[in-house]
Amino acid sequence: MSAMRMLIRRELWEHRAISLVPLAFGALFIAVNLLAALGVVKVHIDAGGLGFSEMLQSLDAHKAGALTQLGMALIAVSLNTVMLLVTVFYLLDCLYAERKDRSNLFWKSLPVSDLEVVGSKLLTAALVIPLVTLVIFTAVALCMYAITGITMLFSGTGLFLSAGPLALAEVALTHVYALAVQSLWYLPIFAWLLLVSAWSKRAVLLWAILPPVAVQAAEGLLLGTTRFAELIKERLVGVYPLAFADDSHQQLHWQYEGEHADVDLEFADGLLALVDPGSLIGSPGLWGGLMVAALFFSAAVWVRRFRDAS
Amino acid sequence: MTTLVRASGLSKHYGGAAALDGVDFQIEQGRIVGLIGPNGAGKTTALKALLGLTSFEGDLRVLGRDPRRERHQIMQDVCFIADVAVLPRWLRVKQTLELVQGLHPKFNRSKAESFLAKTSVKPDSKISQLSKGMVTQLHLALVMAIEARLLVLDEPTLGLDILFRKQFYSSILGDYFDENRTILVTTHQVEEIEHILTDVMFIDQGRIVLDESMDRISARFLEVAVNPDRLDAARSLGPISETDVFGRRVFLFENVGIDLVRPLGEVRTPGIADLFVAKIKEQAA
Repeated sequence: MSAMRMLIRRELWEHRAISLVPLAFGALFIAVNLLAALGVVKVHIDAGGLGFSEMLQSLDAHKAGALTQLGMALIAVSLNTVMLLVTVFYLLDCLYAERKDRSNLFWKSLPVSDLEVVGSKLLTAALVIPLVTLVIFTAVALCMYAITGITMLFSGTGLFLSAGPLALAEVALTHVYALAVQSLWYLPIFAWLLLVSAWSKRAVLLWAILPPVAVQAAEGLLLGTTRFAELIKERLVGVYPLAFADDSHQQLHWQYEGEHADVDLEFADGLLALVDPGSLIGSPGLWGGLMVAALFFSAAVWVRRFRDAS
Repeated sequence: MTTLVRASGLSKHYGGAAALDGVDFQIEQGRIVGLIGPNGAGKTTALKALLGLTSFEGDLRVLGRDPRRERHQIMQDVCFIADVAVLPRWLRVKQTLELVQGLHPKFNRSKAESFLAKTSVKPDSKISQLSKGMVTQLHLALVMAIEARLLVLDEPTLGLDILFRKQFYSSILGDYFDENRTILVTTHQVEEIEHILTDVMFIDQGRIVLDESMDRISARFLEVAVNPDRLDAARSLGPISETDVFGRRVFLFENVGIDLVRPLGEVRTPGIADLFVAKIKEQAA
């Protein structure tokens, strides 16, 4: 177990982008937030000729909480996108780099099995990177909450400041769930990227993309169908509809009529109410994906084990 | 005596060509064995097989284990430095020590640190900032601090200047080697290591052409700078080679009694390099 911890620390030492890139984006969000709060950047809200303070008047604690959750969820989604890109490049690089810089024989001189080494990389992608992102998200969300909450206090409402802690807790919990299901769903993609990284001599990104594209093209030519393309598409974006309830009244509805603005967030139950793992756990896509992941992962371990070092 | 490595019928084919062609050998504990051969003779393939880095046919046991299936257990007791084993450039020196400490149960960090203290390698330096000689010193510090039973060195001093090369082998011999340790080394610079070897193995075209202890080499092989009037007598004894050295005919004899050759001229023990050339030529003939 301590070997696994060491191997994961090594990944964080080598691939500093894992924390630096989300940190940079987080810092950027905070900076923009701060500039907006100080009035350097003007945020223009078109509310049918209504003033900002009148809009604030129409809020109550519940709506303020929903708005805060929404704002924080947007931060979480942005950081998540950044994280996924970082993960893709991390996975493509992690086994390829040790051959490229010819340090693989040094790594192989240590008494760790290839299963442990490749396993540490998959674990980094599926668990450690999401945890790092979660920590960064929480810190960024806290900062932005403080900045916005205090600004709103000066604008005349303390609702945001008081709604913040609960909203953050709810968004963070939802985020944990989203990261978990996302990791499970993307595991076959992660393992595929590991395999490409272990196997490819050059142009890893190309080798990651080319085979699936070739399979699609071959299927189109030979069978005239697009099954594989649909499968890939489902794998890329299909997890969120499966893992979250499709609740139509969970909508952000901002109405304004004449003089009277009504921020009507039919967001009544908050983000956690959307969490619904039932259909994901019951879906063949999850379990089939995990089996494919096991296959690609074993292949990656095998390639690293027996690939001729020189 | 403990046998650390036992190979029998060890073979490896690349396509149709045999890199190793049914090789048998043993390595005993407490020896320093030089594996010597021309490029493409099968040296590196043999080392790779031994370290579990390549597949092979035949039977091979390293510390009683099969390197194909038990590689990472073997690596607890086997260290190696390969010529291409560049340390990862992004690591810092102290991270490297921490890493090996975390991953190698037989690593003694303070030993490595005290070895490094005698060099100009700084703990905070990145490996990419070190010279090749300094990287070798760091690697050597790691290896010397690991309580390993077998150390495999594959062209460890390739590309180093003479000072580092001398230092490398004197550290290995002075601070590392004892009767519980065993070293297997390949190098092109035979002259540099022949005085530290206890055994030599010559390998050519995937076959072992000589496997002998250094003590026995001096009994088995004799080099004679033959006086001009004794050339015919020398040839009649069946030398394995005859060369011209500064105008004198130098003969190499195998298994010929010293009393027979002493009257021919000046007798001495042949250098490994000369012996190697003679054996390879004999093999080719």
